[in-house]
Amino acid sequence: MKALVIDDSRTMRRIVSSVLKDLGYDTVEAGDGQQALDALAAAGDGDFDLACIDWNMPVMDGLTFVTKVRANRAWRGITLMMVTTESEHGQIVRALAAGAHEYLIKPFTPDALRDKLELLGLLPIEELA
Amino acid sequence: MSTALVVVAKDQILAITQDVFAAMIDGGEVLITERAGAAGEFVDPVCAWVDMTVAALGLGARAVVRTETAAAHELTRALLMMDASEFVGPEDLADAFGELANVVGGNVKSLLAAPAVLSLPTVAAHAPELGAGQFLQDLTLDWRGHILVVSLWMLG
Amino acid sequence: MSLTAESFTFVADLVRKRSAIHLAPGKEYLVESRLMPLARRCGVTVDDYVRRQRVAANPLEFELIVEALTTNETSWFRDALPFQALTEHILPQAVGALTAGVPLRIWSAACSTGQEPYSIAMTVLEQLRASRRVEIIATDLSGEVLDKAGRGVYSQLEINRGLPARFLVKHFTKRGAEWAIADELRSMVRFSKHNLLTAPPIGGPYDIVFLRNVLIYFDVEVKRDILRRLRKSMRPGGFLVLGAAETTVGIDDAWTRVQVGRSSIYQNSGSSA
Repeated sequence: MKALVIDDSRTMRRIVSSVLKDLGYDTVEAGDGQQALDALAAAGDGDFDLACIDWNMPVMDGLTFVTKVRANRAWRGITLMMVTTESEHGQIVRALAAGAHEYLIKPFTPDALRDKLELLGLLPIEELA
Repeated sequence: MSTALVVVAKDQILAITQDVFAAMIDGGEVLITERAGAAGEFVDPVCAWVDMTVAALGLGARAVVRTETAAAHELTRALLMMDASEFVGPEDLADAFGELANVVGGNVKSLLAAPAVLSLPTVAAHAPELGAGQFLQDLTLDWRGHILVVSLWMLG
Repeated sequence: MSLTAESFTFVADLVRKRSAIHLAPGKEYLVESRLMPLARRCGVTVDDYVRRQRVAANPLEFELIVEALTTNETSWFRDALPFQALTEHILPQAVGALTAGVPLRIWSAACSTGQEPYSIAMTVLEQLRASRRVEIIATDLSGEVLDKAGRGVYSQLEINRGLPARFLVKHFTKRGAEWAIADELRSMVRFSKHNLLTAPPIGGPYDIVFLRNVLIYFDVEVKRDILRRLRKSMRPGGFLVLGAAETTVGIDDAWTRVQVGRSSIYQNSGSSA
């Protein structure tokens, strides 16, 4: 499984990536929506399973990114999850309407991220040694 | 229009800050608590803030987080799961402390009476000028023996 | 006798692989206190228990360990799979088996702060016609958690745990920094104090019972007693949903295990005697 972690804060990218890696994901990081689009374009279709997307970022914000991804047929298979501090009811409605599949509010615990992936059926089945 | 836009109680800021620290820094435990009295001057401060703007009203608020640089180092290590011996560079420090202000501020924004837009965080060695703004809340906190101040201002 | 570094590292690795939760050194006390009931069940110290499990490598027991260390807060739609089974199999079957006019009765046992019964209620609203009468009773030993469950107000951190975003926006409103569940859902669930070691709560016979991650804490005799009492409070053919690490097999044979997707559920195959 492969995830794109999009956040202008590298602290947050590292936190999200570290949880995803522990769960068995490969991760690629991007600092804004445009960088993330570039990363998707550079990858093969079907390469990414998941994108974790901050909302407020320079250059291109997360909502714009979601809209652009959803407008491209080739990227239909990517599950889009907002991971943001935006926590008003109306903002969550906006993100879902733009095409986000899930929404995780910052601050979150590692198990909250895990719960969301379980819900989405995106939890890699771990093999225990 | 008055401060009615920003009716945020000290307890709410405390609850938000405690949630942020418990979830992201202290492994689920509440190790940050309110501290009686004012903080006094910081010797070597670091300061991060985000603005929340209600464009239609030409109004906004600002959430400011301040602490000693040494405490911000420790916070950064905790956030990034670094060892006590690992070096924290200035960029890591600014990024981590800025993100802390962003998460606290973003949650405060959701308590405002009107939908607001959140700015990206700014990190500096000193607090910004209050200017024409109005001071609303000042919460002094104790985190593992360090002092941390979260403030909320009204911007005119 | 305290936990050795070796045992701690083993448990921490297991939990990290399964749940992405990091148990940093210094959390030995947490491991000790959480695993104590499991160790006591085997009549050994926590350290001996962990050593034994390392050798035995029993996946069910591993699941219990992870469960014990991660059940800090209750999740919505916890474990996801049981709710998939509820949607795809249990609700259609249970409703199909009902006589016209009889309400569907669901019991969420050991419901803690209410996430499970409300998740059931949300699923019911989604799946069944509005005209279908449904009664959900949710019980717990603790009056304190029931008070919170009845208020239906949750912190952001609680909301973050497994609640699908579409349900959040549909069924909750923001109240300050917290989220309040809609009255429509609150009115669907009746909360009541109840001890599983006593007679089942009034309101049966139940068509569906959720009893998850409770049996693990009891020895076989008590488990059997609980399962028998449960059967008597349920309709023949009624469905029992247990935790992923729990089973009726080998304890009380009057249940039929039904495989639905990746989860096992249990059907009351006996008469109500």
